[in-house]
Amino acid sequence: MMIGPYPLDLLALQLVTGVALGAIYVLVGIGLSLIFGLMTIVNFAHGAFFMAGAYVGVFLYGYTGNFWVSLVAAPLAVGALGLLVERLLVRRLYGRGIDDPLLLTFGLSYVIVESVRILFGLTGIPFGAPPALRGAVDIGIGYFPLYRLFLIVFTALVVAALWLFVERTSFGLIIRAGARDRQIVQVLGIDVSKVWLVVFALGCGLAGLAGILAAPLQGVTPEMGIPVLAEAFVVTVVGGMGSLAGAVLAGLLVGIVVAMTSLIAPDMTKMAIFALMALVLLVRPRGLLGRAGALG
Amino acid sequence: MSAFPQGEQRASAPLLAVAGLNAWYGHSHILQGVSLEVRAGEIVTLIGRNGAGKTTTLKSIMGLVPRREGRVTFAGEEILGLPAHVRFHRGLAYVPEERRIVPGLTVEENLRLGILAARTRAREAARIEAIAETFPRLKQRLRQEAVTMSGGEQQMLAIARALMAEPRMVLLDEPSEGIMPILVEEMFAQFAAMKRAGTTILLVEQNVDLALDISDRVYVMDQGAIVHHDTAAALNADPVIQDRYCSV
Repeated sequence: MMIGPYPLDLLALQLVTGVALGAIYVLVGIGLSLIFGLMTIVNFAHGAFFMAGAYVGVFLYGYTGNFWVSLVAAPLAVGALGLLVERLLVRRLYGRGIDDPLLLTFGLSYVIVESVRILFGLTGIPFGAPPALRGAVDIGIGYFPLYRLFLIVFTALVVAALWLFVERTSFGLIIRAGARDRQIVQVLGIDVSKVWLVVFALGCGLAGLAGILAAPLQGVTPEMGIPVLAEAFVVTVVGGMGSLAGAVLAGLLVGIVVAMTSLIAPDMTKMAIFALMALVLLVRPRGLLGRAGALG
Repeated sequence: MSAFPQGEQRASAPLLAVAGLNAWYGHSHILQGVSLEVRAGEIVTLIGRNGAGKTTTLKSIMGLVPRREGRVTFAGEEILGLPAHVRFHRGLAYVPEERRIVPGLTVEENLRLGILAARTRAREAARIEAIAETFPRLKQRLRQEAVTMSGGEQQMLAIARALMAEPRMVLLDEPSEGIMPILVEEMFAQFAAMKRAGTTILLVEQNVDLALDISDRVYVMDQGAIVHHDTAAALNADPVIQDRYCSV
């Protein structure tokens, strides 16, 4: 069966490709959205943390030859970097509006990218899927790369774990309450600066995880985080700032839009993402699942 | 024979002592030397017109006003420089005027939030049960999203949440505002019960008649300072003062 010039099977496969691509956006977008939703910090270094995760993972893979080690170590290392950045830099700017942390993280992203260029060189490092995840499997509509399938399943597990953390733990309750009303949480004896530290590190760690997961799709370069940052902003705006479910929905949507456009009109891919954002902003300015007044 | 005066003295040492408290919002000098005392076990009410500085006084005591000077001692320790969350751990609780029930959370989750950070956290389940007995209206609504309740029920929840960690003293800002009269009376009966259970209360209230009925002492504020101070009984019998400072 054909839809226009395209066989249905091809469109369906491209849809699954979009979901796999979306998985990366989901992970990057959740971190960005959590950090903004709770701390009102627009983290412009998020793309750099994504890239740092890819480099840590690829570097460790070169030593150990074990992708699973990289998959665990990359988010931990980038999360630790996030801890340091929050404690030493971002913390000093609390209560000074939205611009100062934005400028700080913007500058920080250049420092991180430049450091990686100095340490690992200007040219990228090619990186393929680990041997156990190479090849393709038949998913009913055709053969699909095993690694991308793994990407979808693994991200689903991470999102489920995050959901349980936010909805079912005491710390998650504090996060949900703190995102809505910072002051009442303080009045009830909670030291919000500790909560922010954890959330910032968690968001950065997720960006690092997305980085190592994306590495087999595209290899690693010092600049790989730049387009991802722009796309992650689209995800948070489309999904709604501070909404976990919104980031998941919007991440998948952006992935599917990118995959479909690159099949139908490859030149329009970049534009399609922003057209999606413009459309959502016109119809629903707070984002698909955002709350009114999240910016207030 | 000699034990009695000593005991009396200990009981009357103030739990909260505010002296020469000044507070600013931006360039506005809101509090201009507020001094007041609340002894353990008392209900003390702060009355005065809108804009007299009552809310700012409570916020300063809780540490929510960015710029403040003077002395605030609680249980004998200076707390003026401490952040709000540390004051909570010293035994101070604050129920803001706007109630601040967290949207998206159930009644039970709002209550849990009140004890999560406390040392008594292990007793969460027992405290929720005890609170639910005290506030039967909340008991039937534990799983309900809190902001879907009526204003009065939300106020009950805000008070209940502040009581979860068994504070020594509760600062209550205009609890009766915008609430049905029948619920207001229920609420004031609750305050009297809290006092009997040993909780000290500093109350800001526009509903002067009801407040005087349950209070021990009253401070009258005007233009950022305390202008009058008396027992509730004496002020009840003094319509001139009531008229001068409290008629809106």
